Amino acid sequence: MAEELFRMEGISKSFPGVKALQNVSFSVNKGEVHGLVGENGAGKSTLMKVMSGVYRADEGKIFIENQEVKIDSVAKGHQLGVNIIFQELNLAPHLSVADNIFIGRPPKKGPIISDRQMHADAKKILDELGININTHTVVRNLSVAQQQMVEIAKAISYNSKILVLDEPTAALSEKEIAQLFEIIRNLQKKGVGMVYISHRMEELGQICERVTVLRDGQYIGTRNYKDLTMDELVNMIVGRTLEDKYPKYQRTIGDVVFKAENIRRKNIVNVDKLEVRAGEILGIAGLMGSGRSEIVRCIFGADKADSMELTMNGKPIKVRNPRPGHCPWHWLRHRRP
Amino acid sequence: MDVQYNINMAHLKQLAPMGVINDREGHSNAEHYVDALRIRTPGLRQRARNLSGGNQQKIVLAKWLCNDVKLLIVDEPTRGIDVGAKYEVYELFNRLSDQGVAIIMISSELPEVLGMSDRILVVHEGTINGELDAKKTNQEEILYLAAGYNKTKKAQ
Repeated sequence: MAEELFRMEGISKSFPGVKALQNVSFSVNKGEVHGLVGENGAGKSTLMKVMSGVYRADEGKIFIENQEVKIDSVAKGHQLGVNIIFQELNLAPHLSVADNIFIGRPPKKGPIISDRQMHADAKKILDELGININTHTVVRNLSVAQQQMVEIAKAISYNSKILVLDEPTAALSEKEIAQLFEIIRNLQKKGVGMVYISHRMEELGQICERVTVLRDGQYIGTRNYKDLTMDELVNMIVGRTLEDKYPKYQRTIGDVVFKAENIRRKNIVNVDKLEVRAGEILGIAGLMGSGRSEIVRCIFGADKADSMELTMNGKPIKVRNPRPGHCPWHWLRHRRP
Repeated sequence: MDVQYNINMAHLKQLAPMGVINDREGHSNAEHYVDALRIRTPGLRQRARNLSGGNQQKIVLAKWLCNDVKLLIVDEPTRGIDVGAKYEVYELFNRLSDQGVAIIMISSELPEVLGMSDRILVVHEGTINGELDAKKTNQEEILYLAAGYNKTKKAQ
């Protein structure tokens, strides 16, 4: 039976308006790579931030090697050997690899920083991990994968017992992923427990023994990866099917209520025609910054369009200011939903 | 500002026909919407900023619903609100559409767009790159259009 290294029990954390975590339990054994999966916003990152001391949990207990601990700051986390490698790397691009590894705590001889010692120590850590990077290289000149490895080396230099990897492979190529996995296996042999967050199911199979699933801030379950089929796992992650998540509704759609034509605004908005019918929900999709909001801001009058023709119920209308309704004056006769 | 004022903000003219706000009317109006949208607040005089994000979002919706809406444009209506509140917002949209209100809904969440809309317009670089029937399409197709694929094909 594997030895338990880290355990969280009944962790809850809420932010204004959202319960980010509700009664979540989680554990990592020595030398284990534990997969943590869930949809965006399921609470994975929040859980890891609680684990590493970025956030404090509202409720719940944390144990390291069966000793209850309070991780109330990142420094405390470091001290206890919990380290997290974020998706966005936290390196100083203009410093050397060794500088980055020992940033904030360079080895000293008396009051003087020993550069030679630092590079020697850095080299030792990198060698142990099987990473082949010159410690004098400026981080800016490294590839993303190499930078990630430097991050790992940095985390290890804090004597990490537990290492959290948040989507480590998001920006890596196949070959680099293989390299990363090699390093992870090296660490496993040293008894480091790792939490591996990823959206890529195939990867989990390659590297993880157990998988924990979170959904909407709730703990769904922990399983051995081998005993799970892909369908089961996806089911655990998604939970409901799309149908139950949205109320089913049979809409009766009427005539065109509103029509906007030739909406132009500089080179941001360029729409020929947009129509909505009574009782219809028109979805507008597109990537962030594609101009979705800008289009409707023109219609609403919040941005001034260079040209635009609006028709409401067959009559042309004009908007100058975002005023409620753009509709004729009426007394308090609400159509109350 | 308090909850009541926030809800009534967009139609003060109707509440104040002689230039004086009819507070009683405003109160009953606000009360109605707090009920209808299940806004969780200790009272109508509670400051809006003390409420949770989801409840604040509902107040914003209430504000615009006060008017006899024919067309409602919503940009990311469910951002930052929890799953239960989302469902309520969806139901509200359905009720509105029942009354013949046309709704334009912008959303980054593809499942939401797919689940709620009748038609979907996909925007890419400020132009509409495609129109899809929500019942016959899938996330891949939307993303395909959102990435501007259709257009580059045509250009060639």
